[in-house]
Amino acid sequence: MRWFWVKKFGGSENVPHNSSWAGRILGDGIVIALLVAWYLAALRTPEYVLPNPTDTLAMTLRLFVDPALATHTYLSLARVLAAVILALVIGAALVTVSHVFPVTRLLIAGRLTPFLNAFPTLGWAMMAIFWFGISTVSVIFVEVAILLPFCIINLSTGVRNLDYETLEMGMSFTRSRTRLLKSIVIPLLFPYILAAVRVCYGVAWKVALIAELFGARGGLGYLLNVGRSQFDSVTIFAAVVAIVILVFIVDRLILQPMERYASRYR
Amino acid sequence: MTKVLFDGVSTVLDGVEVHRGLSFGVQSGKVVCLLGPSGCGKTTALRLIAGLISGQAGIVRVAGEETSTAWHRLAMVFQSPRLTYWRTVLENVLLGIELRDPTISKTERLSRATGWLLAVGLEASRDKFPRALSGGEQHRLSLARALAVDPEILLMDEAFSDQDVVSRQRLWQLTLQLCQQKNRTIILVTHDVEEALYLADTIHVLTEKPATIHATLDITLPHPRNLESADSTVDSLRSMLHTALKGSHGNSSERI
Repeated sequence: MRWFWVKKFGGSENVPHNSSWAGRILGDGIVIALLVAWYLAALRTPEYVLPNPTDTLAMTLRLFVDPALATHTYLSLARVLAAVILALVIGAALVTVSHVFPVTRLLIAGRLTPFLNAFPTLGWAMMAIFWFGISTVSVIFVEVAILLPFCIINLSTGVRNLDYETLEMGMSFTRSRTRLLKSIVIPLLFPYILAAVRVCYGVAWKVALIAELFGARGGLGYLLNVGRSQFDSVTIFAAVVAIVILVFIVDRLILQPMERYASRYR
Repeated sequence: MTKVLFDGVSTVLDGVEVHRGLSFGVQSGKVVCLLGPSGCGKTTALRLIAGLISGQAGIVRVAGEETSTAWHRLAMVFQSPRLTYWRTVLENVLLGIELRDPTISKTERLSRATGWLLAVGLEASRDKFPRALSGGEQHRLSLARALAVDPEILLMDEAFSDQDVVSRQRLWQLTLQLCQQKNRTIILVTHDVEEALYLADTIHVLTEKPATIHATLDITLPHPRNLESADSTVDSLRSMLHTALKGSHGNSSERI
């Protein structure tokens, strides 16, 4: 996938971290050392305190391939993706309203955004259960409520920094708002949209766990809760590792190459 | 037929009075040059014609229409090339056509775009991105983008300022062909006296802000004009233009 993006859009292969030998030893070496330390510590510790890494990795694999467990993983992933898309759409709509009707600017940027920014995830999770019951709607609601300020702030910055000269060039050819939006405004905003997606995707997983812990009967958060009630630390560790893998894979294989592609829009 | 009319136009931008009672007309199929001190409001005049801004008083008409509805008759080449850096050279030319009239078929769009790239000498760079082009090439690309929509009126803001001698001559010829063969009207902002003498049918010298017409020079010499000939007419026109430019740092007006 990464190869696809790089080949199609000509992104550079530069890796953001230090890839020198010293960097490799420090970066990868410490990860390996920690795994070994985990393995050794697990030998001397009860499983409910620290499960064995091999058992954890085996369980993690089952979370992706065993149909009974993978349902939870893919349900969480689907909720995260739906929430990111919804937050982007609602955020874009609010930014558009505040741009087109300046009278709403204080309401959206000065009141709503700081309010959403300050409201704790746990608070939304409790409220969502009261309002929507234990359901997927509850989980997605909490995720969207938390992601919305990230989208509003990123997209507003994009709109504020919109290159007026390029827009004016477009206006010299047409007065059609649709054509200007499609061919000029959205491409100019693309780096900001992508930045919002990257931030939202990472944050959404953190929120998903809390939201599913209380408000769902499925998903990795729900599995964590089940694991907690049964002192099944292998499942808890495996669910966390599965999330780390999902965040890492999507970020490295899709979002980072897209960001390199987006650099040509700057 | 008067293609563009300025009648007593006064413009104020950000509290600064840019034009005060600016009046001139541009006839169909003619090249009109606007000359004057830097920052006197020449570019603002073009933006008024393009309907990108509005004046506070007076009338601006394009082919008898209000500028807000006449935008489809004209295209503008801006002082900075204003390219879309995420599109290739060819796609930048196509952008103008897509924005102006998306009903034009893809084949027609491609044919027009490649034709104008060839005309401005950028056919070999069609798949490059604008960042790979020199400043002069970027300006030629913005010219091709404007020409590809086949405008009745072409507004050019120092469009040839960073071209090498050969490219400049080529673009001057292209400009004259547009007027002579296709009856296009061109309003050109320039600081280059030689360029104005070579291309223009009429030269308006503007005063400093608030700008008005300081002097108007009608040039009846036939094309192609040889500015290096020993012809005393060219020298006399050049001399008049330099005198007018020196005198433009004030706000008296005269017709030469």
